[in-house]
Amino acid sequence: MKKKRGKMCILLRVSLIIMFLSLPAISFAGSRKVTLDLHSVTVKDFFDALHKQTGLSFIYNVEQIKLLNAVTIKVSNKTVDDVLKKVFKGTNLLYTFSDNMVIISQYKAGNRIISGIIYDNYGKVLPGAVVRVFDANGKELRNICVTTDNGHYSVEVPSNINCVLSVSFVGMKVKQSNIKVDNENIIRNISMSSDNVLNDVVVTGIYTRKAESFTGASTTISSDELTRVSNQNIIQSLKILDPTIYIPDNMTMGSDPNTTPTISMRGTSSFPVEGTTTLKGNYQNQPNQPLFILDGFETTLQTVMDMDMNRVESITILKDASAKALYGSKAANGVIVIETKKLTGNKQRITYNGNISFEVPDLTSYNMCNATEKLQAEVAEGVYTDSDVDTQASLTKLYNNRRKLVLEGLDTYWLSKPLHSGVGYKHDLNIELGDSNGLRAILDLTYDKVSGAMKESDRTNISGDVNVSYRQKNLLFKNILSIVSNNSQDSPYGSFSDYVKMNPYWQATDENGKVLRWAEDNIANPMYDSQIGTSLKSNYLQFINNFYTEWQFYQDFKATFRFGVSQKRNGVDDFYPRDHSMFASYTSDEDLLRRGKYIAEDGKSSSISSDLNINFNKEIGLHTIFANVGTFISEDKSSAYQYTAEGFTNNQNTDITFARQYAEGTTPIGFSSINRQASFLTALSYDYANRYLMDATLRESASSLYGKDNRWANSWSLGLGWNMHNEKFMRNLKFVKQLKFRASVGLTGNQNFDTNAAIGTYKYYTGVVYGGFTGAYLNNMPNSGLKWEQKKDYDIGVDLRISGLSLSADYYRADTKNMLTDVTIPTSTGFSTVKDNLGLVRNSGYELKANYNILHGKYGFVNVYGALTYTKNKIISLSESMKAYNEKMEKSAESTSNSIPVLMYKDGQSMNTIWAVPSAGIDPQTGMEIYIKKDGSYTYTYDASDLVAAGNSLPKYRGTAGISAEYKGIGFNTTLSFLTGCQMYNYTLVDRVEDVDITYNVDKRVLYGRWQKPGDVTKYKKFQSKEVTRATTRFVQNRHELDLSSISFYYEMPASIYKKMYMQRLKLAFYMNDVATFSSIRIERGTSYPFARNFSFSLTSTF
Amino acid sequence: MKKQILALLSIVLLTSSCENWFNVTSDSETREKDQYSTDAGFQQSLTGCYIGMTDESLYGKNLSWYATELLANQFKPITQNSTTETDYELENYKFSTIEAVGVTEAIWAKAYNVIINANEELIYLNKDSANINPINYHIIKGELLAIRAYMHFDLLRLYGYGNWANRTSTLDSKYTIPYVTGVSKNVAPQLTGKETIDKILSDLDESAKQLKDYDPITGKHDASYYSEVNDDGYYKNRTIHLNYYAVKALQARVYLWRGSADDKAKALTAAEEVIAAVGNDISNSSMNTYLHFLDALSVDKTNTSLACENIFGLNVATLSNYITSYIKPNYADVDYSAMFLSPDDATSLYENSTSDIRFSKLLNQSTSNSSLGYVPLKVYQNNLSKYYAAKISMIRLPEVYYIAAECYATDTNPNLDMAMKMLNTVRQQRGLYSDLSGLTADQIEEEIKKEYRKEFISEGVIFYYYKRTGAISIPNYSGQMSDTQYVLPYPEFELQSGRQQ
Repeated sequence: MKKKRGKMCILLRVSLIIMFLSLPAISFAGSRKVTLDLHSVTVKDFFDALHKQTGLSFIYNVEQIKLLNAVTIKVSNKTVDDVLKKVFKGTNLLYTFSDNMVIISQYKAGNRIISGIIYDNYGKVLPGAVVRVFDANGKELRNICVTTDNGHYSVEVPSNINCVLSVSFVGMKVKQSNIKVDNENIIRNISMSSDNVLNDVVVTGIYTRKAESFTGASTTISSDELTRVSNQNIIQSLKILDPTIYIPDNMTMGSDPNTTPTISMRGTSSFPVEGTTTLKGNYQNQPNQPLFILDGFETTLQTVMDMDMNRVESITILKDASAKALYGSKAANGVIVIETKKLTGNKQRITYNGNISFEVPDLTSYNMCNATEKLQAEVAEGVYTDSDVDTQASLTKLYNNRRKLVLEGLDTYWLSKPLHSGVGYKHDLNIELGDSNGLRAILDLTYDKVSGAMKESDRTNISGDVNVSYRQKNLLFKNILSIVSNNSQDSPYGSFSDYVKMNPYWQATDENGKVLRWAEDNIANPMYDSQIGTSLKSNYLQFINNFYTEWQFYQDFKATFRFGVSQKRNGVDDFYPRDHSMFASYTSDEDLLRRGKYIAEDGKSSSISSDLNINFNKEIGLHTIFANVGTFISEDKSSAYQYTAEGFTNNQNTDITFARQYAEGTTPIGFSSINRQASFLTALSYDYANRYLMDATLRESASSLYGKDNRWANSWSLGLGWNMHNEKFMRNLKFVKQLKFRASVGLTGNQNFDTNAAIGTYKYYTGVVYGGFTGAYLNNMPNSGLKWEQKKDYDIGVDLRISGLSLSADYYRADTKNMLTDVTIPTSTGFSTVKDNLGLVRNSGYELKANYNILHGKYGFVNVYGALTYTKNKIISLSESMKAYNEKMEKSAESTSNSIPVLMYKDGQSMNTIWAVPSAGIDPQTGMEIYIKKDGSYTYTYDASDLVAAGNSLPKYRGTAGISAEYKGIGFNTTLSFLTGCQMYNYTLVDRVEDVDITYNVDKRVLYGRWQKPGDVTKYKKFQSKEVTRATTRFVQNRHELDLSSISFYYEMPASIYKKMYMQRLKLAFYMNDVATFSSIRIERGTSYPFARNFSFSLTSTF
Repeated sequence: MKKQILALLSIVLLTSSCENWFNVTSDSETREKDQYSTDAGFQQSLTGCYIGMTDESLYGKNLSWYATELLANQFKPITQNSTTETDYELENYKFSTIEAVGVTEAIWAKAYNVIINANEELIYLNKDSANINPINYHIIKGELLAIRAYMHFDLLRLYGYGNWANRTSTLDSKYTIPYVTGVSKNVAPQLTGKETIDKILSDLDESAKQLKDYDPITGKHDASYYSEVNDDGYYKNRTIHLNYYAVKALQARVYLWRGSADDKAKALTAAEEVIAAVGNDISNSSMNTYLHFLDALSVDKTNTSLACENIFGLNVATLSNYITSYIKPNYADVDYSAMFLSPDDATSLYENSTSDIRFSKLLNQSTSNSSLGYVPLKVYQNNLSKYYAAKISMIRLPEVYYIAAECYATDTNPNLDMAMKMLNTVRQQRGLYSDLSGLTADQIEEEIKKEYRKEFISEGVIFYYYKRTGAISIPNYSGQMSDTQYVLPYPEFELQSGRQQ
């Protein structure tokens, strides 16, 4: 490790992107000095003389200069400009300077000539830019000019009126320049800026819109903001920055680097997909997951998670119908649009970003007994007492043995055994190749190793990206190629819960530190499995190539064509050696040969998509019209198979070819899916005087997933907006910079289902033949009437900016109808379920977002920000179709072996309702739980028909609040997030306090608070209770949680330091994530994999 | 320029609106349309129906040697404990327990699933009839209709009411199990008993019509006639398919279930057609089709399944796995689920005859336990030769003779000699060489009942015999038998959806 760190230090002397490049001064050719003494020479000689002294070339039309008389001039140390002015005085000739050239032209009477150079904001000239002239009323004058290879333009304008020059260029914002009434020819150099400057625009992924005239609800997050809160991954930052995105804590998998989170926006409305597959790869779609768009192409959550954050230019979250309807039938759950960085300058530049991060396990939620306490609990539970004398004798002996060990100091802290502080590294090298004749390229190489809090669990991504763009006149070509190689490994230590339950008086290692096979007689030591070569690996290789063309083919028309392909191959190799404890029960001669297991999986997925969009953008006086028509086509395919082999002769044979046979009773399993789609999009927006705004979208989509009868579905949106701040009566209120009201309504679809349910499909019986012949069977009940799941969104919002304060508020309601549900049908139809559209679920809520710039000075700033969301979910009509399901669930709730609440769906309730039987607490006389029946009477008998909606696990209120400040390059940022207004079922109290298996370790609360003798008023039932605690309101607890999600510091070194190191920039940063969680519920968080705090240092430098 | 763009756009539009482009399915599944694009696809789906019938919840286990046998209390009553919960509840008709509900609901669901598979194929068969080889078309259609009738008939026998002949007017007009002929998520309406049986019979009539001139088993054509459709041997081994004679035998079964005088006459006609054909020896070794009695001397441990007597039997590939804990010739006391006859029952059932091969060869007395019970070997697999292994009988020859005997004996003009002749034919084959003679009609019926019990152990036939005849008391069960015991309950969700039982 030392070596690694040393290497890193060398690399860390590098630095990043200069944010604001100053304009390189254009040395004005006209200011060169000359000394002349000419008498009656020809114009040509005069130019030659100037050329000799200044090196300037003169370009002129021979016919034109004939008009000029012989030149006589005598000057000393005058500028070329002065000389020419003097010579051309009284003629209708005009000159302009361009680099090393002087262009001579002639103008007509009543006109004058405006000329100059068009360049971008890095000072690079723009050949092929279109310069057009309008009068003050917006009427176009017939003067169009395209800049030369040197970026030079020259247009004639009438001298007697005010004119407007309008310059447009692919990828740049249209720039306007006013020309006042005058007779003088003038030179006007115009600089243009890229059209993707944040805050001013909304990047929808299909096209870019001016933010001011957009009626949708969206949030744009810049790369700066993103990296300010965290440097782990994009999703982690989004979670901290915008509470609209809800990522519930994964209470089982904690901070496992190899688990992808579940994400939803503005509530959930689809049912969880029943996990029937045992495939390990990530193939199944999450029905509530938003759509991810990367550089205009649909992508997966995993790709986003594994992507290097430094590549991101901006992230736009499209929330309401007006914003997301562009994505039509896939947009119901919201859309997250990610744009990667574009070339920032025209010089070669190398940026290095290095990170070192630490994942430190957070065990504060665990409250397990230590050795002494555990023995005490066992005595209380009566483990060491028995009526039989002989048994009693051996139990006493066992107790004494254990007690002796404990007194000698044995107190194994099992929790820490599989854990460590994971140390991860990230190196990112970004090379900008600058610009040569319109060709630009960026190379990006990343190595990222995340090391989890459990030993040997890690995730490594190596990725390379090449972004090449070429610009020729009004054409732009761009190609982004990205290759990612991922290797991940799950901890061979197994599930964390196996360690939690180990008794502290059991031994993990002997005196020499050697891991023991048995922790006590017949108690397998879970650590042992990790020592014998257990290996749980998976990997993937992904290739994405996206190609774009933009063509400004006619005045206000622009066409974009995109074509993207992606390919991914993934594999899983899980090996459990023959000594693994999972084979402990394989004892017969035959079974001994079956020990050792290998699971191999192979998957591949691919997608091809293409779209063509034509948009039209025109301002006519006070009217601005934007229109877009487009067509999309795509195909997604994926398939995977898995097979399991068993019977390994020893632990060292770690290859599947050493296996004796396929695992008994297994056959290869797999799945495959294909989905083809096509759609047509029309979008129109209109804005009057920047005051009254309108957006409308219509998208017609078809998918192979749906039946012939309902293949096509449309989605649409209509948004209206009013920029009140542009009204005359508001103009005087200078401090109101923005006051915008928006409202939108629209219909979008959800397609996150892998289903062929609309049509009947056949499958073959595997492993069975009939009289030597194979047979096929109908796999599903065809339902050709199956429709798309649709969501109708309503949203009203306001955006306000008053001096330092900006605020936006939204109220929304989203009705999901035609929900795709497995509807229970009588089995006399031949099947027990059919996929059908049923039900209506409503999500509603509001979102508030505020940012206040307290201070903003030359050396720094102080900003506070906060956001709050309120979410409510309600089933309007559903329970009829789910009747059989609900009844099944009730039965399972009553089952004596079920200790967790079941999911049921009833009208008027939330989809996230916690169902439990009301409890009156523990009877002080008997120590048994008393339940309250529907009629109010008390009973000891658990009856599932008494189940009530006892709580709601979906947080009603979630929010973030934070502050960021900077002074002289030193910055600080911290963000808190909180949630409240929900309940949680405290399974820890059930599993580790009440339903304890006293053979294993228990929560400390076992010792106190449990009923022991009549008269005890306690929260927990009596010891030695044989009955499993089933879902009861006793354990439904209110949940309020406050998270210190991020603290970060950075130091932007002053020029005096980095200049010495030949750098252009040097920045150091320190981050802490998931620093602390304060919760109203004491519950074990991260049962299979613990949560971790993350600390990291990063260094960025640019050369 | 604009025109070019429009042209480009419309090309994209035209090509992508092509409906076919959307008709794709993943590799692991086949669309119906593709499944039925070849004759082989039709054959595979038909095979799929038979495989569906071999499911554990149907004839692989429940409806042959397991649930229906327990319902008939064939064996020594099972002791109730945690491993025998299901067995015990079935034997004692406790249909409302979770375990028994599991069994009855699974039978219902899987039976209708087989029916739906047959229906779906019939729909495509009728749609594409022009493109299918006529031999395939007729035989497959005939078999599918027969499968549909067979499944509905067994559902009717299980979930409907028995003793039809004695309460015709009630049962004829009472709603019974739904007869499903289409494929739809909407439930099929219930019909009256009469309408339902008529539907079964009309499907069987149509089936017989389709098969009559095409089924190789009838011997109408020689093997070369089938060379084109049979080059992979699909039409060999006809008795594992619902062949023409199986359809006839099934007709006899159905008519007898309803049991009016008219029905019995029709049952007899159908049975006689089968008996006549067997008399002419329809076995055809080149088609690997055998249908004949196994004579008493040839029965040994390699053929205890008597598969050559199956007019229709299923090939249950995994049968040996299903029976493991139930059929153990040398079961021990701890094998709580073992099915066996107590020594007293066995000897009294076979009337102390040692020559009856059904006692001497088809039962095995186990000595490794305290009860010394007799274990039926009919589905025991270990020693069977290839042809006899993994086969479950669905309709076996003796039943046709018994049906004929019953029809002769109970006809309004009984022909008792013919009735006895039918019984004697079977008895001769079983090693009972002393023929029955001079019996009254009632005595003949008593003999028939005995024959059913002796003959069909482990075949799921006796329960229906009791139910059909409305037997009030049956051996090994102390209680009285009534509809409560005989009628399996509909799945709860069917009742909630408005079904009447």
